[in-house]
Amino acid sequence: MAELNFDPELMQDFLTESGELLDQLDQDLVLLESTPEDLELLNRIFRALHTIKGSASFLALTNLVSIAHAAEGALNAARNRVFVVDRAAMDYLLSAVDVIKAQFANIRAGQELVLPDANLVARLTALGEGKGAGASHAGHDAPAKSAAAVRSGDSGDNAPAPGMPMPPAQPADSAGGLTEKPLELSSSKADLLEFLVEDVEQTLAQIESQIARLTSDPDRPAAGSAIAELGESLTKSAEFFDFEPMQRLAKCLVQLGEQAGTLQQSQIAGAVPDAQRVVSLLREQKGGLAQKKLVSRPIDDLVGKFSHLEDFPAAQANAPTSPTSSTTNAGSATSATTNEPRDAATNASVNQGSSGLQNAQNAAGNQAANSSQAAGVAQTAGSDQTIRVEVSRLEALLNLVGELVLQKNRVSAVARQVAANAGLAQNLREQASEVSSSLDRVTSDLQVAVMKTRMQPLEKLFGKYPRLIRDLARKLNKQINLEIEGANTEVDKSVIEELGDPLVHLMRNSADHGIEPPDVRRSKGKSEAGTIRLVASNAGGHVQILIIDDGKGIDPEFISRKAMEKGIVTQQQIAAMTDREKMGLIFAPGFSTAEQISDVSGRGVGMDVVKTNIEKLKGTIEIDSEVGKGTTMRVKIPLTVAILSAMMVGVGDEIYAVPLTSITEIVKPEPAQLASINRFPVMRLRNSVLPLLSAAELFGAELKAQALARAASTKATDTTEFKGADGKSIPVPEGEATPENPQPFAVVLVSGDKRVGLQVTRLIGQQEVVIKPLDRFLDKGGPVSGATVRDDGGVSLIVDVQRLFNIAADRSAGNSPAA
Amino acid sequence: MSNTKPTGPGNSPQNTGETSMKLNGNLSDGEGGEQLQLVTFGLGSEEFAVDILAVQEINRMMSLTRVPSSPPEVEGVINLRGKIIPVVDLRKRFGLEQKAHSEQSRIVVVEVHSRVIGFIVDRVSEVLRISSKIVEPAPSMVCSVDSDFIAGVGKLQDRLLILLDLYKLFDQERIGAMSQAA
Repeated sequence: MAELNFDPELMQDFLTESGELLDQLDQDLVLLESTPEDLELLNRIFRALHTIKGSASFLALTNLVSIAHAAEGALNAARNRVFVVDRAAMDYLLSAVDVIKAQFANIRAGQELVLPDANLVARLTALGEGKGAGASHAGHDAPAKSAAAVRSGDSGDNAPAPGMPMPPAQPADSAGGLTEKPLELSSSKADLLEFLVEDVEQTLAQIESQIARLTSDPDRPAAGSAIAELGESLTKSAEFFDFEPMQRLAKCLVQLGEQAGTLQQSQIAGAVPDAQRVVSLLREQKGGLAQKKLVSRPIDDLVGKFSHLEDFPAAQANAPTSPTSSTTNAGSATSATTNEPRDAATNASVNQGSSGLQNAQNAAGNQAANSSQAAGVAQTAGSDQTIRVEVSRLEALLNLVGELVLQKNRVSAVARQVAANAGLAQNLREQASEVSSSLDRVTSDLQVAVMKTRMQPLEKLFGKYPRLIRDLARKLNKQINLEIEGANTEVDKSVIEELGDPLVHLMRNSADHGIEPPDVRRSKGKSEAGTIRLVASNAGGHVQILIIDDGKGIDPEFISRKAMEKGIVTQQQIAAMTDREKMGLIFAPGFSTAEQISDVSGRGVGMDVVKTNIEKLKGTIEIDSEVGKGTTMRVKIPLTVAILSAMMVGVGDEIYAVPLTSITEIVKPEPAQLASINRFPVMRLRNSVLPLLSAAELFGAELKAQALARAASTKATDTTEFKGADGKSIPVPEGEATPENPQPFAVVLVSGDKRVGLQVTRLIGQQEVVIKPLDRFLDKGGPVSGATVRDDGGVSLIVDVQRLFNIAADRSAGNSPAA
Repeated sequence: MSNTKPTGPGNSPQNTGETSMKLNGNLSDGEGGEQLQLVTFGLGSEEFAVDILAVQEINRMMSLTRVPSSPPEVEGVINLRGKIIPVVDLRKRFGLEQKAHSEQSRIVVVEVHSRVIGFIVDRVSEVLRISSKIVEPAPSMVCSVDSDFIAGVGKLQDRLLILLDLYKLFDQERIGAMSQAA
């Protein structure tokens, strides 16, 4: 196969661009299933597939072209109302998209493309052709008719080809300026010739019908953009053959199409005959191609007209028509005779239809020309507004900004010292703090700006789900509607990547275990079709994603019984659990409630992995459920994973960073508030009891007077309040540690509906910290995960709140029976 | 294991990635007189050496941040120009008696297994060039150190030099195993 010989960069562009189209295809197809009559949508799908096919044929990806071609044929038939896209047809179309996706994967892996299943191709072709031939709607739709006519025209082209004598064509050529060259194609491309010729003919037929629509005012913009697109795809085909005259003619159509929306009626009417002439010249060239000849005649004048469409004199409208038909007639000796009468007929009818309107608006012509030019300029500018950048460059940029933030923090620390040093000149001290604060501002703006370049809408993920749910519903014999909200919510690229799998699993879970089969739903008085809602929204530095289903809900008793059977928890532990904690058991490793193990949602290796993955992103997941009503999964993840807002706390003489997003408040417990339950220290916080954990004990830090004295020497920033887990401003209490009370503060941490007070020695202040990974052999599941460089250059470890809760839970589980 | 450190004069081009193998290889042929350039350092009364190409830098003691629940021989982490690297106490790694760090204590930063790791030694002595001919395989009971970590013993005129195999010394699995045992 020749496909891997292509310029890798070209191939990469193809993969990126067509890949995006493919993703869109999936979504659009699923949408089409519910609105099969939506012609705009059908057209969009058709065009996307057509573009993919065009590029693929340019790259000589034969296997890809054949499946795309078959699917395109089916879609074309659907577009022409030959049949209505039903579930079965959709299954084929989606399978075709899957095959193309698999082929893309092949290309990426540098493998030979998989051959599309012959059966699938046959089915699609049958959809496109079999039913198309016996079309009952024949009179109803022009494209259908012309497509059918084209096909017969094609066979007319091909059949006489071998027998057609070459020499007699030559004299006619010189008369009409016709030149012929043999077409030289590599063998891989030659295989595609037939496809492409047929494709060119189909495209030409569509262009013709769109040109006819140009003369009707309301249709004009739509027809114009269709012509532009079809023209583009012709350009690609021409590129494939390395056939420059064809390319130039196709470009004319693109130009016409692009300006159709802005041109005056009269100008359009003037251009139509020339456009038709272009089409017939193209058809002549196509006829040549079918015989492996490159046929061309002088076209400079004609092409020139299209680059100055606004100057088109409407009065000339009739003049080009006769040369057109005459040239075509002259050429007809070598090319498709069958096409000829129809061409002439179309030309005639169009001209009649438009001639009455031609002169009417001529006066306004120049004005419109100006505005169309302006629009053209704006459009070009618009297409240059985005560029593709390698992710690695953004990564490098982000790392540098991370370093800059660290250095900025250090400068701020120095500036504070300078400002506080009464021995220095007033002037200098003021300048120091001024410089430091403006540096601070610029750095954080830069940081935000760089982060933004990495932000991508969740659409990227969500766009895949309609297909997923559709397939699941089919497989499970359920009816499920998917509603998506907030798909434009943006999160960091790395978050998107890590979030994909967990979300898919949660959706599968809702579809499999949540939504009931239609008969069950009916018997419960619910609508037969279940609904899964996927709702994303921004909440402070977090994105919240809700997966809400109106299924059967999660029964906490059922879950706890299962968990007991599997030996995940004991009777005693169950007795102490709230309903929500019981539901949380579905996240325990090895838990699976599927009564029937399906290939939809795994074998009990799922929800725990989901939870772990979400926690890796420093996110949380919670369940709310009401039996019979439905379940809500609430996933909360930070917008980015590289930089963290943290409260720096002193533990003995060590300094740790606690993520602000896990802190609900910081308190200074009075002796009267302290107590102990089962030997575990607790404090009374307003109306609830808060378990306390000694950070020094947990982290193994020293609390001796010496350590405290050392600790007191490091400067604290004067943070008086901070924004915590729920985005509210939280005051920071004041106070000093004493040898008698070495940890006077309790940082209240939250995870799900659990809370714990982490006792610490000092509160140092809020800081933006850049997360640096810890060496693998250091990370042994302790209560820290990652480190950061402080503004004084020292290293602080970042507390992993989730692990801290797990360690605390293990401890109390291990100790409480004894107590 | 690409190392961009310029090689010293007279130093034959060699790859740190092959240090231990090269040493062993030379032992078998006994010929050639290849020059080894070594950084030597002291731990208690014994003198050790590592290939200079593995060494990135040698630092004075700096403040270390202890890491909770890390393997016991890990003293903590340091900030090496923005990069956070673990530092191992070589006394603990070899199971020697503990001693407070002194003015002479140094952190030797090496790159091994594509990772940057620091280790604390009592003192750094010198950079030494010796011929591979005087290096012999480690006798099983030569010193206080597990012979697994020893690439060979250099017999100098007045003393013995223990050449360490950094790859085995900082093998992640070994460190993991050790901490699990502890």
